[in-house]
Amino acid sequence: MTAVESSMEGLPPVIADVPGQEHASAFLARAVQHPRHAYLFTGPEGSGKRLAMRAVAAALLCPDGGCGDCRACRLALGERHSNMLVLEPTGPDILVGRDAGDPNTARWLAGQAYLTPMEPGRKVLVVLQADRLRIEAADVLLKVLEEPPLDTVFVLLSARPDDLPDTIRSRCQEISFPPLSEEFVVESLVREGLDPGRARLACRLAGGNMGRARRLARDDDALAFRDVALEAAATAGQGPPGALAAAEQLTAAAKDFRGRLGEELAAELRPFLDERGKPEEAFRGVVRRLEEQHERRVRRAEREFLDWSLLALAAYWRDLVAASSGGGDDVLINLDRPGALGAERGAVSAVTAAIAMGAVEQARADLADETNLNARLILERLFLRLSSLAGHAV
Amino acid sequence: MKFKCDRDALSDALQTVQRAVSSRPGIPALTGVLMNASGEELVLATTDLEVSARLRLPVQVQEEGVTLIPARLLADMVKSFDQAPVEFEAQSNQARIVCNNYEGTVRCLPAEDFPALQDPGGTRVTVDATALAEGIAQVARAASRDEARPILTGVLLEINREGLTMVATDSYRLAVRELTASAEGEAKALVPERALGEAGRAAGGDDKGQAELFVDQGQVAFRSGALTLTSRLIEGEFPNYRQLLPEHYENKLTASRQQLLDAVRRVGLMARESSPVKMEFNALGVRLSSSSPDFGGAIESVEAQYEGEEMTAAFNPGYLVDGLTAAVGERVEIEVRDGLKPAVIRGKGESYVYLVMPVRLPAPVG
Ligand SMILES: [Zn+2]
Repeated sequence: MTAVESSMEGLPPVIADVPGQEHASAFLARAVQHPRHAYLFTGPEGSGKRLAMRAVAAALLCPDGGCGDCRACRLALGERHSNMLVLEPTGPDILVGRDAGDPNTARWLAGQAYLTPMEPGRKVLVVLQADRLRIEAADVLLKVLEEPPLDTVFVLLSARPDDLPDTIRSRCQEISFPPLSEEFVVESLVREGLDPGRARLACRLAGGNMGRARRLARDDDALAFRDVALEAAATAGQGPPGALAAAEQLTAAAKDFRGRLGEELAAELRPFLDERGKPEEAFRGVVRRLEEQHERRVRRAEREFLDWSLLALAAYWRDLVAASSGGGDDVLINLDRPGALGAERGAVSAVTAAIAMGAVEQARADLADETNLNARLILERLFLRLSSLAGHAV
Repeated sequence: MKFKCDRDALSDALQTVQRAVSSRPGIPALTGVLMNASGEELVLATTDLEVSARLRLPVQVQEEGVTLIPARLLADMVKSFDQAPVEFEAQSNQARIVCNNYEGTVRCLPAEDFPALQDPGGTRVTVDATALAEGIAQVARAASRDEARPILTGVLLEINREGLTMVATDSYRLAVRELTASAEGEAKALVPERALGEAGRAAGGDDKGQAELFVDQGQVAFRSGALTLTSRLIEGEFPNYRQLLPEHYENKLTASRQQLLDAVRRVGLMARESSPVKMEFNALGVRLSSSSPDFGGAIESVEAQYEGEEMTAAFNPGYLVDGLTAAVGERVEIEVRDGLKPAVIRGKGESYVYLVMPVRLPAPVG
């Protein structure tokens, strides 16, 4: 038994299964005994907030406090329990909604809060990406949080808790989910049968995001974004015209990625469609739901691809910083290509590399703000900056 | 699971329970009808997570069991059959339906995912089904549509040994209906207006005889005939409406209900947005008037019997129409105190009371 496993002893099985977050798990295990009416799970994407939320729901809805095996646990872990409601933003913002029948809106969630539970027991009401609550929607939710029904537990999830209104935040108990440790992610992926070297590379490129690391480690094409990013950086190094060309390369690759994803998702729908491509009667509801999810994913795909690419670019500059500060190859993110750094190692100072890294991070932040509509402009600005740094270095 | 039954009975049953199937499901299992064959009957169940329906149907059970089938598909399928016996058989994840020379197969949904519906329980009361449907129609219209005050979007059901009282208010008006009924105890439930409407629909129509209500902590159940509808309740404390009900006033108008209703409708046409209909009560009856700066004005006098001091009060015409429509009987009584206190509308008998708040008129100039 490892140290981690022994510290999990005595926890409800569903909570002990939450990966890599001993502190949060230990806290939640105590919390579900006498739950408060609202929790806010904060932490970056891929740190396990949603898995923890499902586990907490199971622990609250299971007659045995979260055995992990019974019907209540199975349904809660699959987000299908009828005493559990998950609000998933369908657009950039979570809206107030027409009425309690308007799904994924604040009124919908509030309406459920005021109804007795469908099955005897508690209700667990969840808001994913709670920072997307529009101010009026937050007000609707706040009213419920101020006078919460006794049988209801709210769980809000957010990777950007600073964007939440203070009024909401102050009514929730906050639990933070730090990025998963590299050791944990690598160990988990290796246990799933992946090559250790590949697992470590994927983990570093994914910035500790377990889901993304798993995709990167499994899919041979998944590293394509890094190649595109490094190629674009090389193009940008040739001066201002190169910088504009680099932005063009990256945007085109992102569009291409979006197109491929659209095709893949369409293939997923095929089993539910008849010869004319219309949903079969029985699956209309299911198809509509899948289509909505797909639309959302496709809409996000382009930005996601760009974000991964920039993350790879940041990793590349970080490696240069590490290398020029005399670090060995084992501290590199791009573990598989220590040779690629050879030429630049002497040519770029640690300071320049650090400035470049900062510029990339700034561009990532700009892209994350979805009100910033022109991705191309952000990329052009970034590559112009990088190309001027390259000139400086020479 | 395997059974055989009559096409018409199965088709009607599926149409009935389909009303509680969610139109926008988040959980695929909610698009299904849960079919449970045991003994000599089939129980069909559907839910949209607010209202749930269960219907018992005598069938020839050949093999007991439970299965979950896409509700709409099955209902449409059976509806399309000719009148002939229908055979239904479900095994693991597929069902087979045979009627005459037709044979269809349908993929089952995961039955485990279907919510565990609770049996009716708690305090039981028996009422006349027609009176229940009438009472629901009378009070439901006064329930609030404003989701910001969830408690007022429900209708309060109060059960005591004398009977069943239904109450709704949106804080501008209040409707109360008492039904004589035989109850075994006391209980209270705050029922979403839409759910109560479904129960009224089920109890109305042809003479359904007696209906049973069951109220417990978590749900209310309405049973009439083979159909049981259950609804989740709104949590929270309904305002104490009894303290709002006034003693009898000194000033009382007694008029033909239809005549007054027609006049309020006509004069009310001119009252747009927030402008009210003014009612001047005098010995000859009541004089209604309204005016709108943009459209013009209207006046109509209704002859009626009036006892009391002359006075003027103004009301939202829509609220008056609701109250006058809901009050049954040929004659209607309106009691008024002054232009600030609520008016009370009563129909035949004392079982229905409708309170409506007046609109404050601007103070006369000079
Ligand atoms: Zn369990």
